Amino acid sequence: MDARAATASSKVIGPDLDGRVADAARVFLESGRFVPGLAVDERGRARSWWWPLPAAGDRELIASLCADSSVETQRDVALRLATAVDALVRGRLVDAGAALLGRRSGRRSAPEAWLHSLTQPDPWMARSVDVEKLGALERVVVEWVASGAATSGRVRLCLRFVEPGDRGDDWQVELLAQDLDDPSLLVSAAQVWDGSVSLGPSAVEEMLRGLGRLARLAPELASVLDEPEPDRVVIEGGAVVAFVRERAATLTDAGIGVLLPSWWANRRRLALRAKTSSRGKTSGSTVAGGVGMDALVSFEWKAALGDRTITRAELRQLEAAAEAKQSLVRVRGDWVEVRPEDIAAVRAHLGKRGEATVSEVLRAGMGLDSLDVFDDVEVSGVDATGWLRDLLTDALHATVNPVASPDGFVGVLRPYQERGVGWLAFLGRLGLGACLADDMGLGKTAQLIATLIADPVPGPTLVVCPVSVLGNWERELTRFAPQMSVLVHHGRDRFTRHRASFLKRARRVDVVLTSYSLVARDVDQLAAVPWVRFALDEAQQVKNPGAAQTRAVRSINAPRRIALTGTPVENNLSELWSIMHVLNPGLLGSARSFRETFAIPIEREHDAEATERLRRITAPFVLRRLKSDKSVIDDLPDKIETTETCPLTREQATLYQAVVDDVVAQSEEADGIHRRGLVLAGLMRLKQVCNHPAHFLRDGSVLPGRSGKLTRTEELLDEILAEGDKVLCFTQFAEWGGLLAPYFERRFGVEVGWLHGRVTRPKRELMVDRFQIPDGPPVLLVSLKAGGTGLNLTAASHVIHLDRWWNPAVEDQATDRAYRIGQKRTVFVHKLVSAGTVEERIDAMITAKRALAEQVVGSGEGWITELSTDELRDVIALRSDAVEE
Amino acid sequence: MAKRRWDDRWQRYTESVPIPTRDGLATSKQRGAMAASWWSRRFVDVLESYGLGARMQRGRKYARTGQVLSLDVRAGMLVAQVQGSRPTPYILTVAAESPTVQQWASVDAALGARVGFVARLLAGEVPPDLEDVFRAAAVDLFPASWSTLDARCSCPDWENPCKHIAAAMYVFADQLDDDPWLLLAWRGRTRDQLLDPLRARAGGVAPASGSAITPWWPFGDGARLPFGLRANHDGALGEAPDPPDAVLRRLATLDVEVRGEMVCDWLVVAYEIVCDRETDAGR
Repeated sequence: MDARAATASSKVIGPDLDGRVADAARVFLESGRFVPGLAVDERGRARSWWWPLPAAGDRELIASLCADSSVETQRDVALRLATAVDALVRGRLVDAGAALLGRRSGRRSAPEAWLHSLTQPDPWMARSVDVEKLGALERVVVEWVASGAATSGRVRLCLRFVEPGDRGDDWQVELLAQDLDDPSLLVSAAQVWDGSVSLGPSAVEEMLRGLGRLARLAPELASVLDEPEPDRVVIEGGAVVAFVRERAATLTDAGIGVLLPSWWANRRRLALRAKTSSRGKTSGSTVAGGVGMDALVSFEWKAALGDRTITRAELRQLEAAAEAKQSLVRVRGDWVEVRPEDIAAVRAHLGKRGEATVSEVLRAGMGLDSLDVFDDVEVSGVDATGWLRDLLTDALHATVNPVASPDGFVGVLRPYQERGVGWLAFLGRLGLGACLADDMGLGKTAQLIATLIADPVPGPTLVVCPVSVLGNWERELTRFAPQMSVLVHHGRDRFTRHRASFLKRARRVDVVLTSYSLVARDVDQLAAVPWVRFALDEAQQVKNPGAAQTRAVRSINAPRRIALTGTPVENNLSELWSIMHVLNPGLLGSARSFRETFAIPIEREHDAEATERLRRITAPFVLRRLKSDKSVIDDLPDKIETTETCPLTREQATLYQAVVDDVVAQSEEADGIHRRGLVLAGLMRLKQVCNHPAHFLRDGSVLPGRSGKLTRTEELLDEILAEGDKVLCFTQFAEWGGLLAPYFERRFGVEVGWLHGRVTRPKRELMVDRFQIPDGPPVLLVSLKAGGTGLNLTAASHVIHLDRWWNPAVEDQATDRAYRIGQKRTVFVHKLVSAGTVEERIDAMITAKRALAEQVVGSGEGWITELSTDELRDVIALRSDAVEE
Repeated sequence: MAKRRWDDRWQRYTESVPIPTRDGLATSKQRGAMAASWWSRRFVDVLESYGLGARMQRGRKYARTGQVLSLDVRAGMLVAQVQGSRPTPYILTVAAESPTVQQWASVDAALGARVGFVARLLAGEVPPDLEDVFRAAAVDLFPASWSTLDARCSCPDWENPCKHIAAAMYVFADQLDDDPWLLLAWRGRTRDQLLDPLRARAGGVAPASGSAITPWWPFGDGARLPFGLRANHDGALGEAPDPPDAVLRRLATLDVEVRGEMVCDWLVVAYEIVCDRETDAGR
């Protein structure tokens, strides 16, 4: 390149050219698009270059630097740009003191000299290098650089189909040249023929070759060859669809581009759409007696384009287009493919009526099934009105009216719970099953009990739950709905202890409470009761469709069905199917079809579309709020305390009774300090029995399955860990914590911290610090004495009191380890109480009159020791019906 | 000894076995008809309508086994070398009368009026209406009969066409299948002669070797620049290539060594330095 050229023609260029060239040079530098070059001038002087290497997309940028297209201008701009890039790259290398090659004595070879020169301030190379060899190297380098240059010239013929405007039916097929290096660059063939745009020397030839191929592959467009400089060809509106269908792929394969209007892929076809005629609104209560998934809905077939039904006038417009032999016509703004056979088929079925069940309509509306299959025409879906439309359009949750705490409900529902109750009641009235899948601690039980009151139906409701929460349910029912009559169907003597038959007794009460294992055992008796509703707590218990309890639950009939679970899907989607199959049989199809349509595509192939379809069809029937949801978080108090009543196992009950007998007998004979000591020791032993037989016996025996409290604790930990939360577990017994820590580690496969009195101070601090970091242990067992005060354990959002200290203040202090400054989430406090034992009785006393209790109870358990033996017996005696089967 | 047959004498008379060749122009068709397209079929038909069956058969065999050593298509004349049984290959020519200047002017005008002629030729076929264009100028595109051709061969066979001429014509037909331009080349118009007017009109000239502008320049020499084709170029940065020397991968291999290592291996360092500076400066 000749440096003189730059000054010679600079007058042609605008004054800001240097600035724009510098900007462009920086673009190349910053994007790494520069290559080493070499030029030898006619006098034999050689210099190294750092040349820009533009990508196809840079062509416009470079062209914008050229005032005109003359060779002189191009050469001038090329030189300026190269000079600027060279200066930038060279400058950086020189500043860095870069030497690509180490020093070496002797003469350099031509390539060595070139490499050396690339990092020198002076681009000109020493005269000592052989000019002949440099000349040879220059040719190699130039050819090498040219191999990567985005030179224009790789061009193909492209057909762009342009729909007719307002008038006329003929389509224009524009002939374009497309730059293969930069496919967004499209040039009209006219500009190629007349040379107003050049895409390189072979562009004309490529375009002509493309036209030759086009004429051979698409003879109907061969007329394009009859013109000297064709730039478009007309195709009749009636032939466009067939042309694209039959030719587009062949043309593309032959290297001819086909560009269709953006709507092409979404062009409509005439179809049939079912329009249901159900009445009633979501918010109203007009649907009497419930309809259920099997209720029949009548529908009528309507003509539709996509998911929009069309008027008769629009149908006539399509017919007119078909008569005019059009293949595409615009109806209300959308292009529609005209097919006479579609029109005939739609005409034949139009206005016909049919009936389908609610579940069939829902499945058809979600595109899972079709209400009917016609060989000759597509079915595009379902249009529904009223509540069916709400179910279909995902609008349900938004349109359901919240139910404020109903009369007779003792307590106040939080706003999200009011929405939950409204939804449960609404689906209940329709006879559709509902799965309330709120996070643990959001009050699923309260919402269910409020629903029983808000949607009263004469007749009994069956509540099925795990044995471990049976007592809890009884207690919550009494607390929230004291006027409700409850029958607990539990215990060995559940049939024999009453004179009236189970059926009679069940019909007389509002709620029958029982456990999953008893549903399986007593399925015949239970199925005979005319239930108005059933509710499954911890509904993941029916996640296995083949299990006896699942089959038993399925055989129980009730128009209103509710499932409560914090984890609707624990391991795989078939669990969701099983729960939904209990709630709304048929909605998700057979287990097999569910596996094929959803489980396999979603689990194995991570099919986003299948996931969305599943979400849509289940959405009306599943309500899941997380603690972290915006709509929930504001409604939640900072701390939620629940007392969980756990049954004793038979083993625990036997031990408990033995201790009671012993304590009562001894206290009768002793008095004074001796008696106090005896009573206090007895109380301790009772608490140990409530915790676990192994805790009481200290015999190192196995832990699982022997304690109602432990079972409940494990259930809680399962949920807490599944939600990714951390938990503090307090116990007042160091030996109990010592047994639990290794057991939890094995059982849950997580690290479990155990903080007790004998942990040294530095170790204690380390333990606290580790618990506070996200990757630290998710469970920290704390002995009440060691960790009751002073520690900051705000990483925990759950606190479990494994055993009770009968001073609320002591428990609150422990709870405050998590619930204190720095805690950003709601803290859930679970207080475990063994049903029918001294724990439950004292807990009831404390809750009933907390203020009084604080006076009476003072700061310990001393007051119990002051009770008379009869009073003592009342407090500690075992209520036998609270024992687990 | 095999039993003699009635045509033994004839066999012995023509019993010339051709010398095998190594780089002959063996046809792509090793069996069946020697012409696939209608236009080369026209040549084969003219040849076969005149020639003797046996000679044509041997000519086909020659063509298939590569006895035709060269075939040069010139304006008005095919020149071929065919390896026969003698050490020196036979030389043969097949000449046809070339159109006059006036006739060509008429043909050129007709070809220029419709893009289809060149387009179809470029797409690999002889335009079906090309013959009409020539006929309108009172020229035959295809030889009307063998007698309109002047074929000569240096072999001693008195028959014309001989098997060597037949072999050359079969090879020509074979090549014509793939390259219809040869037909016009024989009639006196090369591909470039036909395309150049179009290229000139489009303002592009085939790039002269040793382009006058630097090798990285993205426009052809003398090309017009694509002004205003895309409206929305704002000179925004492209994605920085990763790694820094990614640009080298766009290029072919630079087969130059320095101290026993490829130049590009030395160059990587330069790219790393320039790009490091880039990030350190934190522009």
